[in-house]
Amino acid sequence: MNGYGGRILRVNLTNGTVTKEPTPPDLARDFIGGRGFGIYFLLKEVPKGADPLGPENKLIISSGPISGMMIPGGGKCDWTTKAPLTGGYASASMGGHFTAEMRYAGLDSIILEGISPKPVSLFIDDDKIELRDASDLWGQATFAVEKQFKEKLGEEFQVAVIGVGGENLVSYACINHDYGRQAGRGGVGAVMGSKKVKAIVVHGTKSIPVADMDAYRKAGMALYKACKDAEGLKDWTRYGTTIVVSWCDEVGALPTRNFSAGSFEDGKNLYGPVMREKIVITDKGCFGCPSPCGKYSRNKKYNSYVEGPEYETIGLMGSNLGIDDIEAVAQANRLCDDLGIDTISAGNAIGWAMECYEKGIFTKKDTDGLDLKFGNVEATFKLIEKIAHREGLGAMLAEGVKRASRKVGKGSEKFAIHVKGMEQSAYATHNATAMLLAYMTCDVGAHHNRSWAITYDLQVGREKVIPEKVARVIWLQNFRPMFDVLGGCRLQWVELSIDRELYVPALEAITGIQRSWADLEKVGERIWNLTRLFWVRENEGFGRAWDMPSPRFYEEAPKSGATKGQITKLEDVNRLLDMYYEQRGWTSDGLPKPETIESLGLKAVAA
Amino acid sequence: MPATLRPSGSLRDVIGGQSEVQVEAGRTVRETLAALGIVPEVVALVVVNEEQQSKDYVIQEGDVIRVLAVIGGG
Amino acid sequence: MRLYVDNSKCSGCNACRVACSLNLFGENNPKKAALVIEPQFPAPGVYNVKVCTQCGDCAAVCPTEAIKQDEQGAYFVDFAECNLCEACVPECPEEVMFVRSKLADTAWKCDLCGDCVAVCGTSALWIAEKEAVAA
Repeated sequence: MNGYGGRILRVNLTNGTVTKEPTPPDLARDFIGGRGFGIYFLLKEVPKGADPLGPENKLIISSGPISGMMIPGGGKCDWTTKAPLTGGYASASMGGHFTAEMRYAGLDSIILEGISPKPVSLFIDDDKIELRDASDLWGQATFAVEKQFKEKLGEEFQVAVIGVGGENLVSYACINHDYGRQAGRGGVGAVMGSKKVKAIVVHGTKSIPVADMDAYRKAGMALYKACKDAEGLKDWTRYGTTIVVSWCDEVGALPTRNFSAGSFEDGKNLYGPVMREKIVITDKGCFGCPSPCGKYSRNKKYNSYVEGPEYETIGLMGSNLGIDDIEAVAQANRLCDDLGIDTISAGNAIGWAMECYEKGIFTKKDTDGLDLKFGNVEATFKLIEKIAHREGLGAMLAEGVKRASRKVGKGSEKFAIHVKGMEQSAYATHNATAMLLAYMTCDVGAHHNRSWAITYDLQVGREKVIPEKVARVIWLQNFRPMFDVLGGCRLQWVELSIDRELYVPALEAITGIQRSWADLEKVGERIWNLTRLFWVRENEGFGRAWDMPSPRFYEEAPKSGATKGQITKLEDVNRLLDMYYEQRGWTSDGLPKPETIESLGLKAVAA
Repeated sequence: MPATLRPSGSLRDVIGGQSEVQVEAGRTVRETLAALGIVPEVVALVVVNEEQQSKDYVIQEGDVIRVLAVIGGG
Repeated sequence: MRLYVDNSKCSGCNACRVACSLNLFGENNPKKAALVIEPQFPAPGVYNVKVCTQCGDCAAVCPTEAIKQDEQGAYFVDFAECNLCEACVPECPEEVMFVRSKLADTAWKCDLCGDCVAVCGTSALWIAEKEAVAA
């Protein structure tokens, strides 16, 4: 089938068997790939009420039609599952080279099913596919495991590996690859750990068939030219996502001390140019990417290497914890990577714990003797280890801030910064209503990648609550995640502002199916409603309450920084939701209306 | 010799689609952006003669100023 | 003329290798590319890229004269003439003479098409005159 690897690999870990089936052409036509395949299999094959860490849950890894191709950003795969962190939909996008190699082995999706009696690795070398004993690797750090596989099997093999965090079922355990890329959020690493899969190693030597080779090469070249001609390419490559640290600080979006403010008085020490000078050695990229955002760094202060830190980690492990030392943040990053836990959720959770300590809700008795004040680097490092090992305070933090704050009570729920149980990522939204709405309605929980809208807030007036903002958020939600469906990265459009129309002839030449961006956004809208229906199915009483943000954003105006004294009103939070539901064709409680489901042609799949 | 302002792609629409525009010396980057109809707050990076500067930098004759907006974000 | 690379600019993206396989074989398969990227991670954390310098050592030993020169002076493999004897492989000082019989029934090498340069976002690759080598 043009544009595809051609096979779905099913791995039954309970029985220890692997089977391949042809990728159904109508699945490819209607759901295209990546995240589209993910939600299809999730809804169809994971039964209602499945325990995320039990044998009925599945971990679905999918590449897309531009993965492994001569197309900028063709380096992402999607990991979809029922989330241990939230009990809802999880979809994590992983960069690097894994997605390309999967495709060269002829695979569009890998579906992990059941639970293995013993730790195993999944070995894929073209058509030789087997489960191998991984008992000797269990307990090892991700860098060490990847290095062993590369030395044993060769550099052409691509490795995805969990750390101790995944083995210990930390709710936000992640999956590591290529020494610094992750399938990060929602606890995808815990699902892999619950199935006792330590690693997946893949190697393939097949060619990807395309419908029109000449048109594909021409369209690919045009895309690379557009990227190379982009005005911001040099700056973006130099700084990656750290390019926005100073700007976020300036506009009050940099989370500071558990999101109590949006500017950090010592933020200058975390800015991109400072980091570049102190630690960065290589601009490291994903497959096919002309604008490598990875900043591979050598941290002399702590004698370690890390890919990063990137913006999110700088926000959540730096300013959010009152830490102003970029090398300390880089080391926290490396610790999380080796242990296999999401830096965003971990940084957010540690920030919550620090506020509990500063408020006297925790004493040293609760923190295992740690002086858990904002700014304490050593305590942060120790707490990261405790979380991964579920030790002491770490055991509670490993459950995520929603569960932890419910357990602790004493008002700590008011400053647990999450939506739907997923810790909010690194944009403070005291006064940026489109971005606030984006976090409230993101389909995995409080994550920024679906509909990043802060600049739009600044352009039209940050405090405004207008239908245009809602329309903008919805458009971005239907559009941006389509890159995850195509098996690629959105950042060439997002950061370099290349003309997205250039992807259209490329996609047609590869798959043989003509699709405009209007067509693609329609697929995006369908997927959006399907992921919403998954939440409805899996969570009794799911509705409006689940879309509400942390009270911090409508009750506690920052006392300092660019957004000092600014806060969103609760009535405006509700107005935003009302407008959102109306524009989406959902009820006032946030459930897709039957006529919406029908008009999107989803009746059959949603059943 | 006037100074030259080169906005990143996403900002070009604001200045009528051009890739660069001549600007007066003597004003700050912030004032210049505002005068062009660009909300200064949306600009994430200011590079003058290949060195990063803040928006309060006062433009000199012959400067080449690149400004990058983060329209799409993270 | 020959291909040059600045390792410090390589991001490991492999776009060059996909472009190369498309040029040489009309296939999307970087395993069939004529340049090599060696990741050196976790330490020292850089990519080492090997490219053909158009030295001609391969052509000199080819018993079937399958390695020819085009109008630019670039050496290329005439696929029809190659008998997979592999005499060229150990001769190449850069280790960029390729034989993988499972993937192709011919040896292959860089033919200086320039597509790799076109897709390299960091401008790590470029084509220029061969530098004179001191006697």
